[in-house]
Amino acid sequence: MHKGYLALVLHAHLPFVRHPEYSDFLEEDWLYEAITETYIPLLLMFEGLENDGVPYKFTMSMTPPLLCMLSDDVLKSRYTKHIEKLVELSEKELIRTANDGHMNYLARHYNENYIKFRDFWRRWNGDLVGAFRHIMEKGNLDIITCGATHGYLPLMKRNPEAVNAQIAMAVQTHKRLLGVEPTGIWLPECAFYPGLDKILAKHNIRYFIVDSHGISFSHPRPRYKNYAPLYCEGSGVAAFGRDLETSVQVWSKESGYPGDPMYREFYRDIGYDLPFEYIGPYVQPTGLRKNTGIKYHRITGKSEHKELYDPYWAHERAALHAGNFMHNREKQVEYLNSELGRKPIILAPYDAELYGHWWYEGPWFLNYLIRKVAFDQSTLSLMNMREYLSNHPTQQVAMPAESSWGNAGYHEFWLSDSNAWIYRHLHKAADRMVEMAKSNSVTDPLRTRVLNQMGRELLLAQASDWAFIIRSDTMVEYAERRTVNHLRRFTRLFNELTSGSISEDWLTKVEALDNIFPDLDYHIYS
Amino acid sequence: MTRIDVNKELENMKKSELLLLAKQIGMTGFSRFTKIELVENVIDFVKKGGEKLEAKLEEIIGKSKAAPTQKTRITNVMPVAGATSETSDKSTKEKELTAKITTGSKLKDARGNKEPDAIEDREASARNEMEKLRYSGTPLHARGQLITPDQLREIDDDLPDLPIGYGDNSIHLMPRDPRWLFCYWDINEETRSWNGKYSGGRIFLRLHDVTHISFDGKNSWSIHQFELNEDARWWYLPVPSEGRHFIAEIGYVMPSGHWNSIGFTDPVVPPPGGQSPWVHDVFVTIPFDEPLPLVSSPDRINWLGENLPPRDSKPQIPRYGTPVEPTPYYAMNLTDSGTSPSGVSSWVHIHQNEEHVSTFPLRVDADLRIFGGTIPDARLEINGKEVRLEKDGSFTLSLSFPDGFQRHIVTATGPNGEKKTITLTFQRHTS
Repeated sequence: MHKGYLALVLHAHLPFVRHPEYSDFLEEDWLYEAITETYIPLLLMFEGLENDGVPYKFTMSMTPPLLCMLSDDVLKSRYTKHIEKLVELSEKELIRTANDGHMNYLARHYNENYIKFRDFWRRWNGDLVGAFRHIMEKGNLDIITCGATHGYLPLMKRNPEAVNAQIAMAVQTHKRLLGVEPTGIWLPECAFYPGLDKILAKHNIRYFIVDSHGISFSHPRPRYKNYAPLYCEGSGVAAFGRDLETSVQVWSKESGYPGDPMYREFYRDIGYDLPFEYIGPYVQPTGLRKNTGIKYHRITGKSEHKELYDPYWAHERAALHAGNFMHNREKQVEYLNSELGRKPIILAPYDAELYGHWWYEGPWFLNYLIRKVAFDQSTLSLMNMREYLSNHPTQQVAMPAESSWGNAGYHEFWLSDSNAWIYRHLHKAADRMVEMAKSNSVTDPLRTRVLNQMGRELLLAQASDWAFIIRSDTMVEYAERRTVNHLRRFTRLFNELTSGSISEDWLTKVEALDNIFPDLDYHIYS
Repeated sequence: MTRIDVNKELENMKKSELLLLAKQIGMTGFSRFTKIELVENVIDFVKKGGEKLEAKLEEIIGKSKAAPTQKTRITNVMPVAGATSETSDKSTKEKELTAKITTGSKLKDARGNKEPDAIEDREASARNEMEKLRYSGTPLHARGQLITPDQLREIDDDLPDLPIGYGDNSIHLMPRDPRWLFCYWDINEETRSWNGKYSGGRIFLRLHDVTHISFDGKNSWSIHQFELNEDARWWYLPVPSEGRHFIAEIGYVMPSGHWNSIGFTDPVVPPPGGQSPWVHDVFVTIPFDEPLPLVSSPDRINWLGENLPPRDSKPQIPRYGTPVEPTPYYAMNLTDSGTSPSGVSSWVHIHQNEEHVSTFPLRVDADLRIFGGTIPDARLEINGKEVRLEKDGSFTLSLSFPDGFQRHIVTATGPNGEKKTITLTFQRHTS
């Protein structure tokens, strides 16, 4: 019947940003914004699809730091306050805009949405991991894992135990919080090197995603180009390649859908636009302004002049774009099917936070797309990688090429003049960790706690986000501080362990601060 | 069943059932329909479709009545009463705007179709939990200890800065991309001094090509070397050629020309920057519901069978596969990738030691593989001989390819007798 598959994949990830040492911390907003603008809208979309019995398949990767943050009591209680304050602000906006018809219509849009999101949050008692798990258990959404802290694995390669720990801790966390072992993985930054597949196989991970040249430059050449997975020679783990055509249509700032003039403008936020005496309680306590999430303008054009936004027309545009996207995939599938002589699988992976947070209409687009694929055509069907491999177990053997989805396709962005200095420290810490884990088969509970916390600090320091942010030249200070401070904490723990004088008081505080992976067992390094 | 009956039946169906039904009877383009629109369109569609479709519709309705769907709305299974329906949204909002719900109060379940008592209890307890969460606020308890934010802020106060280096005399090499390697080292003063820093020695980084050899420190295919300055702690090295393995070495060149080696890196293979020259279609079946075949056995032959050549440290002429183009060789362009080598490279030497070359075997051969595809029910001939087509219409023919000229005529004959012919010619010359 259908001639090929489309596999939509959203990568949901945020670095571990949890700062109980401050009552209000700007970087925690990354999480709160993503919850309000991406995760809850996606969950509502999935609920709608399930309620309407829409046939679909979908894949999300949820990284361990994100799962840990979404399950953390401090952050959950802070988000509760955050969403309450948003509702409060949106109510004030109803009053403030009462005399302006269009503005008031927009204020109502936000107010209704925030109330809906807050109700969802309350209904789930703040347990979004449980909400995702519930959808997953319906059978259409496949959730895969990622590196434990999104560590950049090819640059960790010389220490295989450190790579192994990134995978082991990820699988363990996935199982602890989602209740099942992951069958697939989104490699951090899609960064792969030959040999990594064997470590994945050890943890029974069956498939991963690489950028398109990871497949097209594979050795030997891929018979079905980028439209079928390859089984890695020597491990049998399957590699799926990202399709460039689909990603450009959505990602590109110039030609992609999100830049449509009808869509909401990200950079005009009432947090910056309104007088301070009014907006003050909703921005930073230091008095600095920040995004609130309430934005009344549309992209309009390239100039500074911005027209007012209209969600009705933006909805229509999202439906139009979904139709266009589907039409292009139908043509693509028809062409590929006749060229390859088999059903192609087109893999379309994106950062989840693009949908909703950056591209406000993104979740609407996805919703229309999924429904249209189900009810408006019969050329292609949605698929996830797990089911594809179950149904198509015969594939070519080859070794995908070392690659990433970053700038220029390799490791340059994470290994450049601005951030290369971190690796000598990260490597040294990993060497020390492995050495300590192998030489200490301790029964002393205090030494065990030190070793476990060393593992947490090392993992946190390894997050690829820090190197990325340092290279992007935004929030550099925060990213450098995170790298350095986790390594300094690690070093102190290491020194205490080797000298034998352990400060339990300090250890307890570090455990309370960097509380990711409460079940970490340092033996993952031995 | 009369028309009115069908109408009524349809109206009584859930939206999810109507969507499924519409798909079953072959409608398309209804992804955005409301329930009312779905009913209208189904009726319209069936009317146009005639008796056959009417019978099918009645059959589907009959079946769905016989086996009512057990699916519960997703909102019914939540720990707290469903509040996603529009009614409850509205009621929530109204209350919010007028009376400002106190957090402890109970939301009425607007749908009223669940076990009200249990739900209200669960909801109340959930709300209490939320209330606790809201005001649990900042001081944390860890291991029975109360920890204040102030204490957490002091954690790093007495920690020393990270050292500049660790002085462990290590050197590491990492590929950055197909063209560049990144090397860093950590050589302490004592080692530098011992190896000639103060006796007129100049510090160099050497890049050895160690492709398929067991490197003994001296037998690399080629060496590129880069003069460093004493303060340098890392360096970008251009990749001399693709598909090769490299080891970096650091040391001092003494005024006498003697090389004092300090240390080597592990071997590194830069990522490929282009398509593989090898075509080699091996397919295997790995059932997804069974464990990966290699998890317990490192012996890859187990599941690949005889299809892949064994791998060892010597270069191999592949038993299968055909080089389809020369290995891409990067013209060294030092400006266009935005990086320039951190030093000037000097080509030290290429091994031309006769003995070395004579002990190294070089075999070159080629074979020819003709492949393609047509419709599965065509008859395919190559040079007048029939070649069996795969189920999907594809075909492959492997031939030896000695020096000389070859012509191959590929002819496909369709089921209606239509013929298509493609001729391929090849010339091989070994020098």
